[in-house]
Amino acid sequence: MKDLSDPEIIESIRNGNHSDYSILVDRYKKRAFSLLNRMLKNEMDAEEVLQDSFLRAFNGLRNFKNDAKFSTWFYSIVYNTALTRLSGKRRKIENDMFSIDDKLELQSNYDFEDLEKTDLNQFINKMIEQLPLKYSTVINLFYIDGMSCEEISEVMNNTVSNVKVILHRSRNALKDLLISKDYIKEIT
Amino acid sequence: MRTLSDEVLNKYIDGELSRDEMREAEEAIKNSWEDRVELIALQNTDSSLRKLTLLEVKSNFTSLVMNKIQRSLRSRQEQKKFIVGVVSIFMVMCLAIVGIVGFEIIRNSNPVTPTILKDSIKYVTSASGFIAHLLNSKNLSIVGSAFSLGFIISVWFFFDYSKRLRKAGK
Repeated sequence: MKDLSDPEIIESIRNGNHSDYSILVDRYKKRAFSLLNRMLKNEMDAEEVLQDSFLRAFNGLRNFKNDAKFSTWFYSIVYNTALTRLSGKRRKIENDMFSIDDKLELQSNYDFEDLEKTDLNQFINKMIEQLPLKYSTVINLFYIDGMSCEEISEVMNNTVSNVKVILHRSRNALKDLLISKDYIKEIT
Repeated sequence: MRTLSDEVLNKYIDGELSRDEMREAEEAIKNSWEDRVELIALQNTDSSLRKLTLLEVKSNFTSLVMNKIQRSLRSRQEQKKFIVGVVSIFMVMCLAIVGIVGFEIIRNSNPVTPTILKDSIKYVTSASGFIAHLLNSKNLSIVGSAFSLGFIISVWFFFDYSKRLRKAGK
């Protein structure tokens, strides 16, 4: 059963095998949780929103068109549910207001010297957390979920060129930081 | 000296340059030490990002979601049952009224009258007479009140029931 493709599982669920939905949950929970955790910066909120997203997706399966990709459709539910949660909590998401034309500089308050230099993964994770919401979302969807810029633009309801600009800027900002902290030297 | 912009280098590693642009970029990288360093740095950043690991969720997360879905399905079914119940009660009330009307028509009709036409006219006349009687100024308020009360009670029960189901679903 685990080898079934997404459309096959959806068909089975539509035929009344609701328990098959657990395969989809298992398939997407970690990746969606990673995205939500970066967006909401809180594990409890991330888990709650993820549960809501899975429930919404299940209820919306009847309206899901087979010619669309389940992952893209599901991630757009996750992304929008997270945005609703953020606006509901009236958090100051000034990062989200970040204009595409603004210069992206990662000079955060985080004390990078505290980190062990050997743990590059941890360092990059912390850096991504410092990125504005849209930037960290694009990085997450592109690198962790392996989505194309076209798919990301669908999820975030943005243009492909904007997504590419965000991706390039995030990558450049991270690169500059890695150079400034001598990480690049170490890995080359 | 750098000859390639960050945008071109990003496109280069994403494989988004045309054949000619690619050739030009490779030439520049070959001739410029700064461009080469910049490209290596960007490639390393890219490969580091590709190594990012996924975060773990609770081990019972899937069962939590499935339980939530089961509860939501159950509450949806119960909601349907409730609606069917309320509609059935109204249907029974309507059928009872129609039955009474029918009964009155049959009781007032003359079974020995030979022509169907006469009968029909009589039925219609007596039916309209009965309905008129039922809906006269004195009875109308009673019938209307009974219907309104039934309707209000059903709506109240329906909302209360939906609220409880939603709470149970959470």
